[in-house]
Amino acid sequence: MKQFLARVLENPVIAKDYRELFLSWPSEVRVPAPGQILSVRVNAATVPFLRRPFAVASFDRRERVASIIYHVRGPGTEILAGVQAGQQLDILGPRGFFFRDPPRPEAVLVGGGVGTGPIVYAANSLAEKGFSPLLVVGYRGQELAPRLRLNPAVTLQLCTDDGSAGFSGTVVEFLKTLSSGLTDKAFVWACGPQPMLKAVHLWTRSREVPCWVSLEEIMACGVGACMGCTVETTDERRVVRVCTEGPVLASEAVKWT
Amino acid sequence: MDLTLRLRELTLAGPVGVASGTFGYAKEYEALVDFSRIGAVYTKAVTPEPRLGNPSPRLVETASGMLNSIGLANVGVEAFIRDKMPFLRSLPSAVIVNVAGAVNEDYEAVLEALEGVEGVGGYEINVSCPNVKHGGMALGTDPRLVADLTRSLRSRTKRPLILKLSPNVTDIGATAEAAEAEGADAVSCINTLVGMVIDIRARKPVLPLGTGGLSGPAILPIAVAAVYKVSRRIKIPVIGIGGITRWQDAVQHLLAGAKGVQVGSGTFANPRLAEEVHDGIVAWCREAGVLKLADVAGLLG
Repeated sequence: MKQFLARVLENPVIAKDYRELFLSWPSEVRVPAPGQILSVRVNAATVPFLRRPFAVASFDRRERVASIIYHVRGPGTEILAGVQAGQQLDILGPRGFFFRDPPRPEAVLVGGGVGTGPIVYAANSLAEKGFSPLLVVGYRGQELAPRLRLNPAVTLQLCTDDGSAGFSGTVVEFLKTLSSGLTDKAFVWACGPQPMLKAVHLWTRSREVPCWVSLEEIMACGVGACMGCTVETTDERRVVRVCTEGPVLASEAVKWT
Repeated sequence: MDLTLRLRELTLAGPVGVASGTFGYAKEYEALVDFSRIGAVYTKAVTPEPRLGNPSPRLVETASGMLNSIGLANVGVEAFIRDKMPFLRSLPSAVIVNVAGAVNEDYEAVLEALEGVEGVGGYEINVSCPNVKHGGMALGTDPRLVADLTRSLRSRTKRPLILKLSPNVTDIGATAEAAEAEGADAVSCINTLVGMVIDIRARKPVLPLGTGGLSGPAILPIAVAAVYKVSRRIKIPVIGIGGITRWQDAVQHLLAGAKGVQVGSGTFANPRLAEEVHDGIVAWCREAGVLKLADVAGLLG
């Protein structure tokens, strides 16, 4: 982890209220792994007071360009939405436990809302390693579904709650349609709103599919010092920091509430 | 220029410390800061036994600040000595252990466990945490209880004792006087203020315990006023803490009467805040013709 300034290359709208911010990645900073987070200071003022954590959504090794996908929904992301190409952003990262060591041959990746970014990065990374991931992403409606840049080996399954595009229903309703021939050989990586993650976790339990989830929690320091971003676990650790032991955790280790 | 602050045998080489709870056990910031310009590291609060802390969410951002309800999550004194002290004692900064507990016996137990431990420069006694049911702030809001605890700890150590004062009182000067009368070497002033944020959709407080401790630039004027009041009531040094996000804020604390400062939650946005404040204070003193940091308090008109 380092603190560094990164130049903004682009900051386009990719769906209603969603943007993707592209950053020039300094050569001295380690390549971020799928699931890892960047803690971004959106301005030099004291409002907003805290940095904002975002998971990496893509990394272009040749051009050394990283991106994050964010939902414009509060004072921090509203300022971020106004950031122009050429500006520098103060970044801490990359940080945290990431998606790693796929245990089975078939990858089923599940994303929803702001959880889309890290899951797309994970899907593209697996595709580069020879996997043919099934990427299941869910939104309330088509207008919220971002344009995604996917490796050709990734199969995309869009789900919408209102049936305006793709599968009509939630990501979990779609997962229930998968054959046991696939799920018996599959693992799941998921990122999205907590209710979605819990539903995905329960489905993977019913099918005995190993599952890892990336959690979101408000953070203050983002470096493991403040103990603010903790979640409870079912294992002997009992409490872990999302910024350090997470954000990616085995779903069975999470104490779902 | 003399930037030092002497507390018994301990000399703080620089005027800026990093506040307890905002800097972990220092190792977390190893890759990000230059410790040579951090006068003192005030550790995460240490209790006799490990504590997991409060339920999530533990944080909520506010206008120019934040509320926290961490609940003194820490590894406990035994693991602190074994796992955290080796790195801490390797630092050029003074190491001041923040001691917390529910009853006097807890504070005594932590202090006694640390007494023989090399590298511990002094103790900051946390009688002002707003996020625990017993001890903490309940203790720190009653000057008689502060006096009892200070007396008991004074009899157990020759190392510097710094009492960390709660602002959630009617007369903060009375608590400071109680600490001074029983042999405290300094007070740090102030801990967080009790605050609440309500989620109007859920119609309940965002923090599970209802309230949390408010910090950040929102509390700077409250902290400066507290330092001003307290430093006129006691002779022992006041260490100013609260709301510092720029060196100018720290100079306000010094002019109000503080002999040193701590930066707290401002570090979250700017990990190098302590160093920047150190440099700013040095430059300001040079420009003002100040030869000794302790003289700054006398400059207030």
